[in-house]
Amino acid sequence: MAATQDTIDRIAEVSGAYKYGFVTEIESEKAPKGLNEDIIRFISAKKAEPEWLLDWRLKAYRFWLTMSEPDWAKVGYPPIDYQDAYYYAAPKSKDDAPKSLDEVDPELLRTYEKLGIPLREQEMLAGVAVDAVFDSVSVATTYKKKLEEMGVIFCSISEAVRRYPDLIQKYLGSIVPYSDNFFATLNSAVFTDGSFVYVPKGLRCPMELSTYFRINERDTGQFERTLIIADAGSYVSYLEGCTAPQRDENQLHAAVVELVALDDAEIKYSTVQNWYPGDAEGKGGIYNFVTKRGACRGRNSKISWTQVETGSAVTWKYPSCVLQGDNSVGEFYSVAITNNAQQADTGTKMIHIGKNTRSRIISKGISAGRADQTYRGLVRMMPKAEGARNYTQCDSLLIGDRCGAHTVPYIESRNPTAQVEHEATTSRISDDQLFYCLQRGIPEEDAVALIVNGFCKEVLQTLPMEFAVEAQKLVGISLEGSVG
Amino acid sequence: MTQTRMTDPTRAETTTEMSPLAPDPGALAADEPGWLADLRRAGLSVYRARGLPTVKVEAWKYTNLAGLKKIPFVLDDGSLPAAAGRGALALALADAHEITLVNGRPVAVPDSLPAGVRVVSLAHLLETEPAAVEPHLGRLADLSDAPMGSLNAALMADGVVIQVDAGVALDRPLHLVTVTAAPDQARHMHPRHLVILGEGADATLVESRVTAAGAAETLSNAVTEIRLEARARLRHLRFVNPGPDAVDLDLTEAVLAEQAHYEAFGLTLGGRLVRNESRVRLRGSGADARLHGAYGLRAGQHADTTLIVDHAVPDTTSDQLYKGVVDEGGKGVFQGKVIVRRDAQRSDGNQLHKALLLSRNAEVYTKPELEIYADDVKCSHGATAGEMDMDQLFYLMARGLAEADARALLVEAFLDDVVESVPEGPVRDAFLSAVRAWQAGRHAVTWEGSA
Repeated sequence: MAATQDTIDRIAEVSGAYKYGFVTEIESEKAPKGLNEDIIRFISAKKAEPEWLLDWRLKAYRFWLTMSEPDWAKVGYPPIDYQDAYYYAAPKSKDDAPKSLDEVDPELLRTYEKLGIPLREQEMLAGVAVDAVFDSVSVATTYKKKLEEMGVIFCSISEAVRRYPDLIQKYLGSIVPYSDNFFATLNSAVFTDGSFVYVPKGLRCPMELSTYFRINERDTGQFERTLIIADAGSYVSYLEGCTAPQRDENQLHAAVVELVALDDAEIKYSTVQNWYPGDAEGKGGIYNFVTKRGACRGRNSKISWTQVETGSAVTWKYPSCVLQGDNSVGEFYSVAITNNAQQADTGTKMIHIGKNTRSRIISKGISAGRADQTYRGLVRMMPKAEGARNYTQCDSLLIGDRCGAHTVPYIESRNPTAQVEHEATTSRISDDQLFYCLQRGIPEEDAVALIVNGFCKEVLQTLPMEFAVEAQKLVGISLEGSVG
Repeated sequence: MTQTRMTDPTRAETTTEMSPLAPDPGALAADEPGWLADLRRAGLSVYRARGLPTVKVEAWKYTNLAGLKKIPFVLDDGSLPAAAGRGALALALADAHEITLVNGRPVAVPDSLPAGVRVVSLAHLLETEPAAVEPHLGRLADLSDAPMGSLNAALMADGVVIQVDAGVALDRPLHLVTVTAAPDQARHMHPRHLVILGEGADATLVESRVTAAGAAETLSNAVTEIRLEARARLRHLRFVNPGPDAVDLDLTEAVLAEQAHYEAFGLTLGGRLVRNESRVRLRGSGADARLHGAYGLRAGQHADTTLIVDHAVPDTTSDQLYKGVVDEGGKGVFQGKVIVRRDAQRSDGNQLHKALLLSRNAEVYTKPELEIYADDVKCSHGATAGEMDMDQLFYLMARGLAEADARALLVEAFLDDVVESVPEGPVRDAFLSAVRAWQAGRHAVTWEGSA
């Protein structure tokens, strides 16, 4: 995958010196299209990264060149041309953004209204260029100050590389190694930004950390990298994404999320993903190829993943827990809704290594329209996982007769004292339930939303309060037009 | 072990390196009808393209055949005398029509069969009446994704053709005793069977897969094609009990028309490496498949059960139920799959696998899979794996049973539970006593071990 002459020339042009020469500030908005070692040096230089990180990126890139794109997932999409993309773009100029909500797609606004999102927030989500400091930012600033006083580090990962290099060097890539899989390796080579959280020993983080609070650093781009470290005895709840559909121009998202929980620590990670799923015909939409993994390193540690996935054209995502510490606990709660031509291959992996480790998987898949959805989950009981327990329940609901719902669990038992239980069902919305609701004057669409919400209740309940309310509304909206 | 990538299900390892099993294309029989030569060539090209399946191939993820490369197998040439004999370990069924095969070739066929029932050697039929085989052989099974099944197509030499005419009900079970033998050196063989039941026909087919005493390594790579016409009913009961040097791979493909019933039961107790793969296609509404079975494994044994039920039309039902007991050093694999095609409404498919791990080094890998494209269906699957229930053990010991006896009783009860789904009669009794014998042998080993 050699750089084209054009790329080489352009880099030489902007940097003044070809190769290793990216030390000077350049005015360019974007690095030239394409992917090669120079682009990676460029990104690293732009971020003034230390030598070891650049080396790590290059190592990942070289390894990536030897890998082939995975094709085992039950998803189909046209081949991605990795050379035909920009891997670095400076934060967007506000000039291109819509000036006011009048310029925003009315379809998007209608959804915001249904979700009951305040006007200010609507502007923020739609990417309206507002120069004035709006409420949430000032709220964010206050929160940030408070967190800092308590010793919680919550910043962008680039900032963390500069300010906390020891922590980054120790943990970055320690859960998802650079050689992990095709998309994670690509991310390791070219990640541009993301979040970093460190919760100090014994501290229960007093508020939910959310990307909402990092609004001024929102343009994190398509190769996001998140690292959360919960030190001994600490607790943190992190919210990723938001319920409103986001304006997003990137087609491919290959993010990596790494969590580390030390002794007695707990991390609760909640995601609501509602990126553009493409139109009803399946044109456009985001490819969401994410690697999320948490390591319960310490004794009695706990990591809990909750996800509500309603967006993206193609989803490929398996938030996992590596249960290393004795008595550690992993949880995975998921609601995935696919409609129209969406495809999702999602699930989890629970790797039981330590003694008395426990895991619980609750997955609810709803497929409508012509969508295809697969639950793919692995439960592995290693020989030393004495007394480990797993309970898995994955239910699928089909709405309409053109969609597909698949379940592919992998269960590996190598310790007799470890207990594994797996249950799954597939069904459709019962006519009786629907009839009951209609008879009481509830319109069909609301009735479906009501029934589906009941189906997902176990998962939605695990979300933080305000999130749960919004997620419920979102469930209804995502299934619009799928019945009748 | 933090790297836990899931392996690639679709990408076959394309090896240019030929495994010792692969024949030279020129070696394929030349004086055969064109359709048969085509079948062999197609099989060979699939095998050559895919090679011996590796664990990177999703369907073989948990069953590793790499060890086969180290064994200097020669292709069985049918030279063994019939006297290789009936394995002593076959089921003892007094009241059955018995057919004995040595290395996949029939050596003894029943002399009297009811009218409308035909049991002949495949090789014989291909020679004398190829037109009778042509519409079925290689037509029922799609082996394009199965490298080992394809190798069978390329190398098959003989087997049994069983035909039961429309409306005929067999009075007694047909008992196929397949003996593998390799007195001199390691042999591989590729038996091919065909079972055709006409409309409304009814039969019970029992198979005992055993090894002749004192054999070197054997590799049996069998393919069975089954066609059940409308309202036909086949009970297919298999006892897989070859010796400790036997590798026994079996692929069965059954196609069911309206209202046809296929009731399969497999009991696996022997063999070094056993794979029973069944693919059932429900092609007519009202068709029903029951794939039940049990396995008991000890040190050095690996048993793989791979089931695929394809609900291709509306109103079909299927049920998969397997239970396994794995002792020290044994390895059990269960891969089940239910496919419900678009518009195959009102399909009902169930799947359940339960495994009991008796010891520290026992391993069980389970992959119960659902692939559903229709909405008005009832499909469920379940899987459990773990050790013996301590409450049950306590209950029995509280009533005065010694621990070893209590454990033995629970293991037996665990397996009997599914063995009892075999229709009442001599076959079920034979299965139950085989389980008891296995359990007694396990006991004996434990005793020796502790002495």
